[in-house]
Amino acid sequence: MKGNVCDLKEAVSEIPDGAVIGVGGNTNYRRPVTLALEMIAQGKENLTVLTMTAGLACDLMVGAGCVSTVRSSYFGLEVFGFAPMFRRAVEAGSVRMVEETEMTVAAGLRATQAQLGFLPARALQGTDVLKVRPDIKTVTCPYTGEILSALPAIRPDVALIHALCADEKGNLILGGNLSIDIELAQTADLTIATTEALVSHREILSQGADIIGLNVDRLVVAPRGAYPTSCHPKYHLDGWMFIKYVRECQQDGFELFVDELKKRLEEMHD
Amino acid sequence: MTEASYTIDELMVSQIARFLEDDDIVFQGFATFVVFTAFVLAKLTHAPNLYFFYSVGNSLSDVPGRAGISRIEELTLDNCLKRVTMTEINCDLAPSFRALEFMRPAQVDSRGNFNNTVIGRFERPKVRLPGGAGIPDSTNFNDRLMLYVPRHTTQVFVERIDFRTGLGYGEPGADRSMFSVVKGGPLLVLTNLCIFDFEEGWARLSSLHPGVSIEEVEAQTGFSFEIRSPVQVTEPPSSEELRLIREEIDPFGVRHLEFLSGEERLAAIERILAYEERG
Repeated sequence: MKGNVCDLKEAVSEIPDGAVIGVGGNTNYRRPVTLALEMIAQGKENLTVLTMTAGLACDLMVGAGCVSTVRSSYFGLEVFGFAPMFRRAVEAGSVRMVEETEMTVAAGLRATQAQLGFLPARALQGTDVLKVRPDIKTVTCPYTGEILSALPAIRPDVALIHALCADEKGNLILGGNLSIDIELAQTADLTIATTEALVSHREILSQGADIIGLNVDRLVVAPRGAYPTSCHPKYHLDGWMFIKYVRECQQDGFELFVDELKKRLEEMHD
Repeated sequence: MTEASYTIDELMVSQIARFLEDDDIVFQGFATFVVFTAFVLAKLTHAPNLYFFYSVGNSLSDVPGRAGISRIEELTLDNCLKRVTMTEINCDLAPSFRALEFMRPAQVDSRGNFNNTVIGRFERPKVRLPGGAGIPDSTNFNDRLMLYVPRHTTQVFVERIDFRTGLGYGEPGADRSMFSVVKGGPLLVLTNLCIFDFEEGWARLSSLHPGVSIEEVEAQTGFSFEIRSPVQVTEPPSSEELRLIREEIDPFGVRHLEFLSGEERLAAIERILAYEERG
């Protein structure tokens, strides 16, 4: 990472409208919620969210009107049910859905890492994903003759990652639930990370970094940066907050929830 | 010996557990608590060498645990053998590990093709479901796939699914042989009423749960189906299985969530969160 640890507003101000945003974490675990709230506060528009499983952080951005396209294999709150704002937006036609699968995202990122146009996989054959993804081509294995999907290289413009801890060089430790964060950080032009805490370089060396500072561009210290999703082992998810979100969205209370969440975070920081 | 009384979720857990063999590798998906409970039950009974792949933990584990909502990562991460990325699970492990998986479809047809993507048209759906996640990636070659349906209704068992998220047996004339070099196809569909298996790619009623009639299954199924002759009666769970489920694996009843929706489901989640807080 070039430069110093910076503040949230400054880091997020570099994200242009229309960017493809790679969102780190996994379902209800270690999502970059504080970063998402700042994206909303700065009125970002016309974003594409790109992730393997989209959850609360993405639903907040969709609900706030920041998102025009979703690329994900799963968009939901897992045990807490549907992601309400995503569901509403797709059913109303206000957000475009590009149907991904775990493999299209995984292999797509790997293809970019490998500097290839695609990676082949057995995935998707015989499913309707191929009908709604006319961009995905088919190849025949030159050795076995098997028909395979040619999964196109993908990459985010921006990666948003929340880390358990980080040092001042931007080396990150994620806490165990790795998801696709390493790949997002490697392939994005601009990786913005929040961290629960700053630690020494020696501390990072003793455990090993998950994401190295070479792949991180901005680092912000943001305790509870994943709240109400988890940041294992520091805090588990706050199920009450998820239930509140689902109930309030049902009553057109999305904005109310966002205010309550901000207030709750302020209280935690005092 | 009198049979212990049981609820249908317990019967389904027991059936899934009995399907597993020792040394199996099982894949645990998102919020599939009936399946989680069954996997742990199998591990504690006849399959002590079971391995778990956790998609939420991104880990490989061989340790049993308790069903829960708030602290899943204490099981999937603190007590795992190996942590992996979602990319590694998909690209490097799933295709060759041949993990056994139970998936829960929103819609399924008489050929075992199923839908977890949209109800209605894809471009402008009536209901946008969460999405297929890894389902479309493996159905053309996974030969260890089972489906389960907590609420067997004509909304789920339909003549024609709205979107094919998972390949079952295709259609006559456009069957699996077009899409895969591996035979594969779902092996069965376990519901709260019965078990279907597949004969030449067509759903066949194989076993009725105790107290359920063929007529009831027909009334709740939107397609016609063959019936195995003689049709079996599903074995109820044993008292030891019930004890393990109720006391050790899922004392808070997390598995019931799969049978609930709407406000009833949210209220049940709140009860479980409260139990978890009390410790």
